[in-house]
Amino acid sequence: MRGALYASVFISFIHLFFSVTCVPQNDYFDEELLLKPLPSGHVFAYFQFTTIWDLESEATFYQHYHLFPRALGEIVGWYNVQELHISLTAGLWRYEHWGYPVHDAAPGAEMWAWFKEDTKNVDTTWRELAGALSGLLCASLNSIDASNSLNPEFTFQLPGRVSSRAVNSSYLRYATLPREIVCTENLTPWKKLLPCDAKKGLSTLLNAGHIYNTNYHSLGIHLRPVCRDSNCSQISVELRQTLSLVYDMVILGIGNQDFSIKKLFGIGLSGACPLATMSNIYIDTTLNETGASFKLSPPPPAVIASSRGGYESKFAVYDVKALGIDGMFNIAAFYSSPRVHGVNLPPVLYANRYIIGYGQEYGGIVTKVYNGLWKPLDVVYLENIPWFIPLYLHTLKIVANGKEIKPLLKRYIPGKARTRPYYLEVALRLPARSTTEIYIEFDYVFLKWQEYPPDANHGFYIGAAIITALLPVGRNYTGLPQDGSTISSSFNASRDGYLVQIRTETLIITMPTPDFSMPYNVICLACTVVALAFGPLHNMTTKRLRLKDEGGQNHLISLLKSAFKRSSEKKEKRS
Amino acid sequence: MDNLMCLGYAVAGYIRYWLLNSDYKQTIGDRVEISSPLNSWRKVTEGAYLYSEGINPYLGENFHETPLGLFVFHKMISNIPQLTGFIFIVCDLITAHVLYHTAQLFMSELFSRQMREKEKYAKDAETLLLKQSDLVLPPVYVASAYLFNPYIIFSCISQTTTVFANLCLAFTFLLMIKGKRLACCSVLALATLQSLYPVILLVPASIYIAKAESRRSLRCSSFILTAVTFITALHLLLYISLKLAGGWEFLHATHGFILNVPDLQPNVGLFWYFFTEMFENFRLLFICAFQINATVLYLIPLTLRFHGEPMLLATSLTALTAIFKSYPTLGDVGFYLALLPMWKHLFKYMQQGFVVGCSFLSTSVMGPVVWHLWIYSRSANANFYFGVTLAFATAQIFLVTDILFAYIKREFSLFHGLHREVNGKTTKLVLE
Repeated sequence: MRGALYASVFISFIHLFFSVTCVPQNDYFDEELLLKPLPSGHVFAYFQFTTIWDLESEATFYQHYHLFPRALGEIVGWYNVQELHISLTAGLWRYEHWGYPVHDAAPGAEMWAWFKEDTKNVDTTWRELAGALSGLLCASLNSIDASNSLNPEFTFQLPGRVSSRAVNSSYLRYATLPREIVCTENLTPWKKLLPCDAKKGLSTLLNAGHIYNTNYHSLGIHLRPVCRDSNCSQISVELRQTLSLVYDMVILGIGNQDFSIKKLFGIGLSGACPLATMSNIYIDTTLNETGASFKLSPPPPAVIASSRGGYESKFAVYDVKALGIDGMFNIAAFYSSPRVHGVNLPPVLYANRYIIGYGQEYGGIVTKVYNGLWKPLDVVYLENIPWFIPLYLHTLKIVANGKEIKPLLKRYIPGKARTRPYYLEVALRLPARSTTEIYIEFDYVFLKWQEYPPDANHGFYIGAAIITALLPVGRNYTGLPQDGSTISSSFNASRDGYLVQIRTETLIITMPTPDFSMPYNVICLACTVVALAFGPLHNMTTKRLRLKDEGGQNHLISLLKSAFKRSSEKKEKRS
Repeated sequence: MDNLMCLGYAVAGYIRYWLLNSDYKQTIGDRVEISSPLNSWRKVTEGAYLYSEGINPYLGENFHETPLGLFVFHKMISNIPQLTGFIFIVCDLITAHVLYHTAQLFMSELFSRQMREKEKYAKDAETLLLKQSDLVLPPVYVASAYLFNPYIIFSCISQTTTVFANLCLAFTFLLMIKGKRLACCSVLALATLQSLYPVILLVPASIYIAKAESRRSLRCSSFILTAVTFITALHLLLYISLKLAGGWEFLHATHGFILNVPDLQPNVGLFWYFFTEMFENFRLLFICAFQINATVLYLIPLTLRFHGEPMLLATSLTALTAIFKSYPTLGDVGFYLALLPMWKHLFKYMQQGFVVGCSFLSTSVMGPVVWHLWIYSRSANANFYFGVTLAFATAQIFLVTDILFAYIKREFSLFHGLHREVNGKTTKLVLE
């Protein structure tokens, strides 16, 4: 009897065990690397690690983790985040020479998030989320609060929309920290979010010594809900960890442009991450057609011809899983001639920005937007100006090819000292083949002495402006389509429009500084002047005029005498 | 004399018109000594623009005019933009004329009081007495000091709203001396709404109005009535402002801005560098101390001492606020300087005229110079400019205390004679 009981308990335990472990893990992980030689002689390397997590219902989000990083998932779940984008960038992406990156990112730290619509206090949640992520990524995201955050109405509408509901931008927050310095301490925690960490797979290539040797590097974390099917009945969570690097081969390669995995990352590839469904390396060989030709070694197992928005490109594809790597594996590109630059066709839309004016009293910000398209282009321009740079909206002038144009839409919320930045969002129709100047004036502000950063004369940073547009052509475009998750989804992905978000340069202005060593002197001197008024007025109002005997001839002597007399009188009194 | 005055107005008007249409306008208007965050035309334009775009200008930090001002300026900018400069010139000329009238009335009042009190004066004080001929020139000087003072001219052509504040103040002085309670209180309420500090002029105004009361027993009630009228007028204006602005945010942007001093842009006053360098935890304490110093600190003692001469009281209070207020400009300084010729008979008792004059001159020159060195060539720093503003404030303080002391000395001489010898010994006048 008892034996039968034990047996049934044992069987039910076994049953339970299997039922737990055999729940199908519905998430998968892809790792990809895109290498693209740029016409300017640079090499663009783009890593993307994609985790997609299919969940049955929203209630089970962020509960049982398999490949999805738990550290991030818990934060995202706790703070009710629907969509989250963080980038940590050093250097400036040069659109004019390099085309468009896969992910645009502003110099420094940039972060934006959509919160779910049942979020109570968005501002507080946003600040706490930034604080938590700051700990996760070792970045100073904790200095994000309402005083440097915006909720732009148009710019961030497009990515990752899963419902057709009208979006309410009050659940969106956007902030940049243009002064943030990105380094190894950000890369290490970022790598720890990967399922294979940096132990196996493409992530073994991420060695700080080589990554921070680049002209431009940008770490990114992009989390968004995506639709699993065309009518969006089920939702998955997509997490893309991206790393964009731009190498200057002229500097790195000794006299030639040849590049290889080993040269770029300092190490060969030892194989794919065993947890990855897909582990691919793509090399853009389009430039081979136009001039600077290179040969790949070993020759690619497959070549994909991609046609996108009217532009053809070719990619050599190496499937790392299928390669059956034993030991170290390297892919190298050898150029036929030592240094040949391709023909640089600048992208249709790019911009740059600068400060005008001299002295530290009045200034202006000019943003030049170039539209190389044969037809007018609608763009949204988002200006993000910190509170210590007061803008004058009445000076906003938009001049296209020498002619002033009216914006289609304008949103402006004036900033407030120490609490709110200046928010300006303008929708414009850029004329065909035009240069448009957006000009606005500002004042230099005098801050309290404790509000200046430690190196006050280094200057203050103004975050990048963002120009958003839906391009009709795919020239220089490498971005992923809205509905795609992996780099492979961007091949032959012709769509109605190609979303680009151009970040301009961050600006730096030096504000007039007080003398930081003076607080006591200033307090004393100013109070002295006040006392100069108080003394005589006090005398005048409390005392009466009287005629007084002048005494001796010599003032000084008589004064001394009287003083001496007084003191001796006092002494006498005391004794 | 009238012809001379007409010529004066014409010349002054022409100078303003010429400068307003010259290239100097921008240069002068950009000077921090002339345009403070509170009165600059640039901020007014911004506010009016935001208002016309349907954005509440009080949300931001760039607009500090009252809703009444906003309404008027908005109408002005959108309907008659070409006439704005003209309006400023006309207002300035009206101010000068109002001051001229005020001075005339004051001189005749001074003379009649002298006649009344003549018996009480000492025998040898005859030489000090004002003669009929002494009464003609001071009003002309007052008007000229307003018309041709470069501080005032610059402040007018920069289109600072100080022009309107000065107009309100001038009318307050005129209506005060005329003893018109309702009108005076209304104008004073308007001035108070705009720049807060004129509220202390309620005291000399109520003294004046009470003096006009024939029966002594009614004087107390006259004070109360004046105060009530003023408060009612102020509330009415606040109510209108509330209706125009649609909320109370404007109070934070106007009076809150004046009291809290959040903008530390340099000006001719003492606040900016002091609160730039202030330790954050003492800020509130010193804000309170400085604001009290600018308003009520001297109000009571000066009232007790000079209640017999409310015009002097009003002038010295105006001067003290112009020195100690949070965002003083040269327009405020010019206003009280224009009032001083009313006390031309005191000038011979003043001892520091030379020092004060030289300081005014040198600081007016040095200010722009060190500003340029600091902000443009970056070869000087804030301390230089701070030093100049300190010297300027000190000079003004000397001027105010000197004129008050001169008044006391003249009074003493009138009642005690000119003899400075007691029992055959030479003596000296001292305060004891």
